[in-house]
Amino acid sequence: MRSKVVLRAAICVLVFAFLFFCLQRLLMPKYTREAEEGRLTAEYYGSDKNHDVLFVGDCEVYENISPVTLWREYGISSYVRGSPQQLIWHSYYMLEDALRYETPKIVVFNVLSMKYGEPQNEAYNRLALDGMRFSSTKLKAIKASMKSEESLISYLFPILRFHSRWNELNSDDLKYMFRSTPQLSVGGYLMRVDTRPLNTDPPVGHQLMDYSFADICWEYLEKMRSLCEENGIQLVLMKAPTVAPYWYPEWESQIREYAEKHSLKYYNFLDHVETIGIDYTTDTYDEGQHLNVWGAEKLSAFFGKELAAIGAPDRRAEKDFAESWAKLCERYDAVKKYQLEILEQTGTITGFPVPE
Amino acid sequence: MKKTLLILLLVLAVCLMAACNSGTGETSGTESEAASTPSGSEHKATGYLFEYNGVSFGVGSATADIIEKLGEQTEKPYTSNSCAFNGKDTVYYFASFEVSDNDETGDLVIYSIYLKDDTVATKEGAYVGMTPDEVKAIYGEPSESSDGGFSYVKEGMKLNFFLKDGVVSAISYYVNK
Repeated sequence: MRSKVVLRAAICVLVFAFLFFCLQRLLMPKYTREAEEGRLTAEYYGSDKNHDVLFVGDCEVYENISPVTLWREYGISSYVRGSPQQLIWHSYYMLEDALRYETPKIVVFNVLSMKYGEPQNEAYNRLALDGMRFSSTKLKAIKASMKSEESLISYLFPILRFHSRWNELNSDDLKYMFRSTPQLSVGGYLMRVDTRPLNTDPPVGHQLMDYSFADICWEYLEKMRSLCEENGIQLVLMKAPTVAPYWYPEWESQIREYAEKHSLKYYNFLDHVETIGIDYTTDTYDEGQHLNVWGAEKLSAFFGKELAAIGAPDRRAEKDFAESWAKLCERYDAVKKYQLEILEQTGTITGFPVPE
Repeated sequence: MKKTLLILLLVLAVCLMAACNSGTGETSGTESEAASTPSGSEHKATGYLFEYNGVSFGVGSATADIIEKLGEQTEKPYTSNSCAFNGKDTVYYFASFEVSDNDETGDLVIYSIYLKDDTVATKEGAYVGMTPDEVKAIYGEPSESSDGGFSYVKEGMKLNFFLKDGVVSAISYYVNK
């Protein structure tokens, strides 16, 4: 009798857990029609963990650095772990998370996010963190990122956050309830083939009350430097050559000072726009905010030479690497072809379209 | 068995309902939720106002009612996209000031006015080149102050006076986030 009761209770609990799981899978955003970048964090786990260079940062890395170009030109195996408005603590924990799977030789951090000393928006936290696999790193990342009105439990059980989507569900929510969405990025890079030129002078930033980066940003930069040091990784700092948001000279001098103090390589590509060959009338899809694929390939070809010079190995002769990257190159070319066809047919690109 | 299952389903429903009321920032909980951008929800100016060409406007004003009346723009407006969402910010350039708006609410709403030189002044008479004491004689003691300037907070916006070499070098009306 007693065992029957226990059995019944166990079945009920299992049914409850199953329903909870199904509902959660259904209601979680799939990021297929809007804010597609919400798929980036999870895509990393499906990659071959053979990266010698890992980029961390916001859209200034995932829209401007093409790992396929780094591979094709220099045989550098790299991955971009970025998400929209990825703040420095997001980047730190993305790195800590990546180190659970692999230890790159070089980590490149894009410094734009040093300008944000506090969480900006819950939506960006979700885009960065919901796709992260559960671990103590994820817990720390959530705690570091939450705004005061957010709760830890809603990250652990996202249904508590997204249950109100029931009246916004679409066919993709069913289609991708139990299967993966199509691969959006190629090595963490998001491609755009279209062009919206910058035809005026680049915008100049308004005066600020205080140009100092927040203490918490320095704290996380220091944590990132220590983490790299402990793991024998060379930390490199970069600033992408995009004209907006404006990068103030006062910010530049703080980063330069830090890099010099700790003997870190720092590349501000805004200083090398001409040498790289970036033309803001052809190499950007949004008036200089982000590079299109043509600009990203130029930047990556330039940066790859520097990365090779500081120790990123050429893996083209190694069979495992060559096989792994051949697939990525094929995917990259397919995405480029697909977008060019869309552009030719419709005259415009929206979001980051990829073939199924 | 059925009873227990029903109870468990009710518990699940209650959990979800409770989450609805837990104040976890539930505005929509959707993919389409836009990034935080400053704007006036009723498209009505709040706090201190700026006046130019006989048009009085401020943070929260609807752009459509304003921009065309401010005269010739010196450069093409610059529109920048949010990294992830559909919201766009646009800067409109005039000879002595710049106006910025965004479209998160579906309408273009002004969130910043930036005065660059002394050919324009605030409605109360403060302008670039004044000393802090002269500004304080008009507005009183500031709500916030730092080495780089001082601010007056009023009705969801800030009137900022930026300092350089001991005098006001720029003035901005900005949404108080």
